Amino acid sequence: MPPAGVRLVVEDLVVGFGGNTVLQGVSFSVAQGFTGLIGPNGAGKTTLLNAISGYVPPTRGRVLLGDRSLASLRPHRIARRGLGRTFQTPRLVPELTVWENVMLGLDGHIRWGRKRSRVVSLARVEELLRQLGLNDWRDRPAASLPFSSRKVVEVARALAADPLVVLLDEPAAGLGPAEVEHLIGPLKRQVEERGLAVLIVEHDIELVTRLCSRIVVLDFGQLIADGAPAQVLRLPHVVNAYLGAGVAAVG
Amino acid sequence: MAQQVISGLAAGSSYALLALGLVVTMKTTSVPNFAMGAMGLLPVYVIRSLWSQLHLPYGLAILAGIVVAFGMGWVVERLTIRHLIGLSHFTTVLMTIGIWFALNSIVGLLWGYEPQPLPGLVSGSFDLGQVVVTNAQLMTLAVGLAIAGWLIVFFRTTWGVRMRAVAEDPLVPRLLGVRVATISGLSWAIASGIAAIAVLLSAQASVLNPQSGDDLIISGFVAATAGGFSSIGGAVIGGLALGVLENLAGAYLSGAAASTVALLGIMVILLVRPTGLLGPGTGREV
Amino acid sequence: MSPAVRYGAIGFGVLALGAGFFFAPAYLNAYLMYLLTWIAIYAIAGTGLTVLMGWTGQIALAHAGLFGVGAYATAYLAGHGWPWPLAALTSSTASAGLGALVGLPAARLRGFYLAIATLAFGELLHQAFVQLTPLTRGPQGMAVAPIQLDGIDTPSLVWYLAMVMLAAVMVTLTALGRSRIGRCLKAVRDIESATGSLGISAMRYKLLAFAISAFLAGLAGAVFGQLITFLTPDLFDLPLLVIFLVQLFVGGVNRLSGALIGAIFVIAVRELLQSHVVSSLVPALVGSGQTLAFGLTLILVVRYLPGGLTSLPGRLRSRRPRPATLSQVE
Repeated sequence: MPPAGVRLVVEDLVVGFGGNTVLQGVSFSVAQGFTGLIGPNGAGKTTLLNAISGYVPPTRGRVLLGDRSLASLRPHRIARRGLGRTFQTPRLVPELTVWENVMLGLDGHIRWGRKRSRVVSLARVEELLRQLGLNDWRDRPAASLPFSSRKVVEVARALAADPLVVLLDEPAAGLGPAEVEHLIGPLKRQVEERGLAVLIVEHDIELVTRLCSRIVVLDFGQLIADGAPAQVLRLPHVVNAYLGAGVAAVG
Repeated sequence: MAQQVISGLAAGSSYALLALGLVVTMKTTSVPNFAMGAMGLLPVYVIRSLWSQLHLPYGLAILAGIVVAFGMGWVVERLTIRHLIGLSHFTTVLMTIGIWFALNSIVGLLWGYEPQPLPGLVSGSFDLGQVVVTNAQLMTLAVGLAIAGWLIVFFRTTWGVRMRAVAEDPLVPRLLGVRVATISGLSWAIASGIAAIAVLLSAQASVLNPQSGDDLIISGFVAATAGGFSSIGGAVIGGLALGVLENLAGAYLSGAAASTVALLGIMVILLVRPTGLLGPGTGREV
Repeated sequence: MSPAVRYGAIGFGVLALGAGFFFAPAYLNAYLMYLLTWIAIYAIAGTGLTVLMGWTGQIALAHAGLFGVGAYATAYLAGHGWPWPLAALTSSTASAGLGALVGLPAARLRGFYLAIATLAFGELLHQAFVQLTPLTRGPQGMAVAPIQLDGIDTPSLVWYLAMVMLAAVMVTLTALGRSRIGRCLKAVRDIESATGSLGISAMRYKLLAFAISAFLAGLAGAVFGQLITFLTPDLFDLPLLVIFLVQLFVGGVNRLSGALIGAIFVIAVRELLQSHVVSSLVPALVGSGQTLAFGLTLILVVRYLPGGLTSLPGRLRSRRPRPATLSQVE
């Protein structure tokens, strides 16, 4: 049984493609609130998200959501257990409207998995559209949206089914400063009101530091640090691996 | 039984040849060519007309027909396929189906639907123990293997390597200073020539009619699929095995069984090993 | 226009159209009615392909065979004393089952492998029509017992059957397209890799699309048997497949209305080529000319108008520069 508040546990996860080991025994946990996942390009961050959400089978180790193992479940089963995620480049259905795209986040969950009435679901979608400032766009096809808005729609979609844990793959990349604020405000609300746990991959260290109570650092497929941002960002090997002098000053 | 194996190998080399045509267009332009049978059919009708109406010597007519096939492959690529490069298989499949039916009906319009015999290329046979092997069967098999061998060598030459490079990344040949269009046109010309030989050999063994191409296309797909649409050896082995299986099924089960072997075979292969029996495995896409 | 007026107008239009179709047998000439029935039947089969190829993005080349399954099985069962509606429903369901069976590899196959598998499956069905002589009488052909209802002649009955079915199918599929299922099918087409993360099983929806479209092909085939009254295996071979593909792509693969427009197109082209003028000018065109026309149409549409005729208004509109709607977000 994981300690209280912990939603997602990654235990000794190993992932390899062919002869390449991309993740070499990664262990950490994600609790309610924001957890940051940082590391240089090619460190294995997206692979880690793919392994957690069932897209890539691990060669060793396991992932627990709540207290249940996700081993050998296919992605849609994992999603129905309460795991939402976004992708680095938003994957929306171009011809469907914003509202329909957000509804897609619920469609796979209705009637299966957790019980919820249709009325509650619709109210939930309305709430997300309003909080994320998408109401003016709701009847536009996703294809007509700028890149940054598509990313926001994808976040709304990932939250629609009220997941226990949501994995965000660089949600702020490509967004202007004002748009980032519009995005993280509602995210914070979801965390406070619904006890959501967020694992966020982000290159914007300033944002990660501001948002996360805890960050984990991945380098060459290994976890090299795990702790409060202020401490982690001061560790010399973290600075060497990733941050460089400029950002270390912020920490 | 050995007799069935021999006739199966002869029939199978036509399948293998058509499959080789499919592999060539797949490898270079990444187009699954449903029109391959029809593209082989038209030149064979040209061959027949050159021989029967213009009284050309048959060997010369065949050479001329293969030149026609080359030209037709080039033209078809130039007019249709070139504009679709980079589009999904969904689009190219439909395009080649359109070409398939257009070519078939052109053949029907020009030459009618009556089956037409072709003159024998070689005659005679010899005994191999209990088994009678005709020289025509031997020739069919030899031609099939020779073309397969030539292709294997060809893909290692400069032009062959360029062709393969086009399929993998259209940017690479441009860096090498080669025009992608030239390469893809050339590959369609070659594939079309091979298909003409395939249809010719299979029609030599029976008669020529507008369905001759259709009869080969599914068998060709089975053989190409067995090799995962990339392996020349796989396509040859697949084609020969299919020919043998069909003949055995025809002899020991029924004529109807023979015609369903290929159809069932392809379903089974795709269900068991979707990337082909001898092709590369795939991971799950993210 | 206020919503009340608009819905009133739509309601009135539907009523007028319904009345027109209801009284049509009384004033239409028999041949035109026959052609319109044929169009409705192709349109029903075409909507099935819209669901599978347009919405779900799966290539399927087995539908001529599945159309034949509906025709043969319905004729066989009805010939053995089953009431026609039950026979048609059972046959369409059987066709749906076969469709799901051929769709099974679709969960793993991509693009052209699926095209090959379904083409082979369609040919297998065609072989079955030829070989299973106890059921189909093979190449000799099989007469279809006409459906009977007191007071209505058979052509009118088939007309009503086809029109009511087409209307029902259109309404049902329009609703389906806007529902959860429609959204999920389109997600499978456009963002298959992301469906897993949304709790959507892509395989389940692919199978569903295959089953729905095969059901509609079977249903259309059942009515087709009544129209044509005599079934031979060649009716359900490759030429029909090409007709279906031309229909789908001329009309527009993505829209239900495209299935209807495409059906009108293929029947019109066929009639034109069979017409007295053409056949007296170029007699050879009658047989091969059709296939040539359809083959060339497919080439031209794929090359120049990938969205089909129904995409034309949108294409013409988008030529004009659009107001910069996108800047609002900044």
